[in-house]
Amino acid sequence: MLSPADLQALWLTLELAGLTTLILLLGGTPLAWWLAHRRGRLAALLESVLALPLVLPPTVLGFYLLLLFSPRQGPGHWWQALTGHTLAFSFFGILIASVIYSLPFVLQPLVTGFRQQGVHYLHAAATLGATPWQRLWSVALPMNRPHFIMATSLGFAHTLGEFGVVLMVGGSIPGVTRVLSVALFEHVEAGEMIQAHVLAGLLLGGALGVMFVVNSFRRRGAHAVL
Amino acid sequence: MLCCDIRVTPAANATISASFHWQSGAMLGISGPSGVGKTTLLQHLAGLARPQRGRIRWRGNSWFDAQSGAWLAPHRRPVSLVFQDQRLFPHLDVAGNLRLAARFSGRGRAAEQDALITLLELRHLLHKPNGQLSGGQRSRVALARGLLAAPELILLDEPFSGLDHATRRRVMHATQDYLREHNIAAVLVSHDPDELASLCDDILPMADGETAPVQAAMDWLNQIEAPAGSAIAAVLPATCTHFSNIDGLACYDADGNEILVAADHAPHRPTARLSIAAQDVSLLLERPVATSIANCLPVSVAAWQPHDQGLLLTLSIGTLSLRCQITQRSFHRLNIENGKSLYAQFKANAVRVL
Repeated sequence: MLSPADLQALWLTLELAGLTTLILLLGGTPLAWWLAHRRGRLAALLESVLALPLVLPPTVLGFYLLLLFSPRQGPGHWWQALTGHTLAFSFFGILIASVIYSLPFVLQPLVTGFRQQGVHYLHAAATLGATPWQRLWSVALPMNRPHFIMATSLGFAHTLGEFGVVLMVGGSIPGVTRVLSVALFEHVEAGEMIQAHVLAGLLLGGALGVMFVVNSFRRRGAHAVL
Repeated sequence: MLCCDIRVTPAANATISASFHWQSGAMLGISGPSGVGKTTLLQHLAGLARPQRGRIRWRGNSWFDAQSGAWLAPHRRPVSLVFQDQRLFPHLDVAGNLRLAARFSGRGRAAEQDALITLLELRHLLHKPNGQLSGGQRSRVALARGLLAAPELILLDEPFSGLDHATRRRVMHATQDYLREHNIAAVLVSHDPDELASLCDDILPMADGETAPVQAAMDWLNQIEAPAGSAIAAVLPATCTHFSNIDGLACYDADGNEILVAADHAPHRPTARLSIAAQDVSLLLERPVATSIANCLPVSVAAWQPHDQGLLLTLSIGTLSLRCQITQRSFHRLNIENGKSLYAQFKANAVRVL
């Protein structure tokens, strides 16, 4: 069913989505914690900036990132000086772009979870002798399991389907930046409808599967927590 | 050993200023109407909030000092807090909550955990999720969790409020025994005078956001104005000397005076505090020859004051005192005067064991 090129695109997509989700969970958790517990204008402003990818056209984000990644100046230049490769049109480039693009999808559920949880249970843990680390590890994180599952699923699913940003920043280099959505676009352009159907079906099935997992955990999570 | 002098201005509430020294005793009760700042005070003692100024010291260690900037984080203070709203961790069952408390505190060996499970009647609940517990069961779990984690001091915020009457008394006494056995001091917030009377050695009265000096519980109990809905009573510390199922009576010794109590009122405990309502005590000029009233003690009149339509007398029995409520008519008929020797009578059924 899948041509070797499409199979390559599938693995690349899974790799990109997996790595993006992992990075976002590691970096997004402390960020969400900070945003949930910090009041003040700086935190409010930062939260708005970080939510921008939700409403911004992906091509706009891709355009600015492409400028940043350009080897002629700024981060793109430094990157090239350091590694000898360009940041634009590289896997690392689309990974950075994906992380930024999918950030709000991981961040929002976590911030919501931490906010809802409040400080009540953390106070209880503290008076039982829990260190700040134990409070995070044994209370805050496990209590927010439904929110983490949601954040992981949404981050992964959203990265699976990204198109505009990847095309802008990465183009379509087989094995490097040619992900499923880009490959699908190319099949349609070339009139290869059968291949297009297969890829579209794969993406649809993947997204449906992820949403099913999210919702079933949400139902169960609601019972366990309330 | 607990020395607190703090001033707190919570966001939306009135200022609370708490200044007291608690020298000795196993349990300090904080009494006062609701909204007076009792819970806020406990949270500041636990370190969950930082007072605006003042200092808190416990057994010579500084927990907070606004001047020197000293601050001990809540998890470093040898204190645990049992919240009125329990705050059981919702992602764990009962056993999980207890395990976590044992782990956090770095104490609570398996034997201790097991003893508490038995003491607070939790064994059949161990694997229940929190959502399925009743209010009283949640209170007991929270109490067990707090006791398990308490190193030197435990702060109890209305810990028995969700329990039904019979369980409440058992749990209160079980808690008291556990605290004694493990040499843990406690601060108890309660709006129930009986609870304070039964458990506390000292009382810290609070009113209008301010604390009064700490008093010995017996002094406080025998001077309080009766709270609305309960009768004025005298409270006597006593030890149980004899328990008879045949007579249906328990015999107590209160500073050399024998007091008989209906056995179904009396828990099987060696020490107790006996509460005798002023309206249940009557006075006689001479000792009666035969009467169905079980208790008759020689007393002398120490003081009186007008009360309702009649008079409220304070009667001395050795170092203890009783309260007695009589009418104007009886006052004149008995020729009451200071120091007059009389006999005070009350039924075994009129004595409540706290």
